[in-house]
Amino acid sequence: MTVEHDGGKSGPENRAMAGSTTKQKVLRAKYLDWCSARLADSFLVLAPDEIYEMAERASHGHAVERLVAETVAHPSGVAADTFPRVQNSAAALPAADTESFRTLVALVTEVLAETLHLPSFETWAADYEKSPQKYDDELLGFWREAVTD
Amino acid sequence: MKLLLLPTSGSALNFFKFFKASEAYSMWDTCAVELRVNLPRGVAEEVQKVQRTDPDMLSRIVFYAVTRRTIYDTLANRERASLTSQES
Repeated sequence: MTVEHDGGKSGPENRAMAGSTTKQKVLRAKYLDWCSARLADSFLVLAPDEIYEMAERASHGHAVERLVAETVAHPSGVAADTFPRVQNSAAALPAADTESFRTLVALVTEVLAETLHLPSFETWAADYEKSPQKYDDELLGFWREAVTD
Repeated sequence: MKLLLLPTSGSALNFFKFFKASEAYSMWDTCAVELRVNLPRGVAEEVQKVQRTDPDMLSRIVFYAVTRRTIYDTLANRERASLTSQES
């Protein structure tokens, strides 16, 4: 029965391969956890104008005023619904009403991930192997889900 | 015991940076939300104390953690989509 899945490899070889795959999966998830720290640092200090620009850039020119207005208060402190809105912009972005924060974060993350020059997975993993503690201290534990999946 | 929502030592700097940028936090449109969480007894008492003395602090911790989690989900989904498109 095992042969169907392991291409005829023996038990120990198969276990070693599975172990290596799990290790790689954990490492990739830890990399994403670490990247989330770098991206959150940048995201959380953005001004509304910057969030707007990035979200619009990521949405490839689609109007995002409504999405930003639903999530971010106006910088001057006036109610968010006084933010300029574009007619019929609800169709421009998916599920803007119910998941505006998630959608906004996804759009801005896309731009930040391109501009922050984060290390590639390979570079990060090589450095992680040298000093894992340096990186583990910055993780919040989201990576654990990849192991339990 | 390590508490998932709270920062470990290395990421404490991220928190301080975020807390300092108070104007960045205040720009978000906010509303009240009630949470029920299970914590070790000692931590629970400390949280209740902080809630009385500095409720804004707890809001920021939750906001930071949820934002990071959403970013992580975004990255993980993007990676899954990329792997799926490579396989097909």
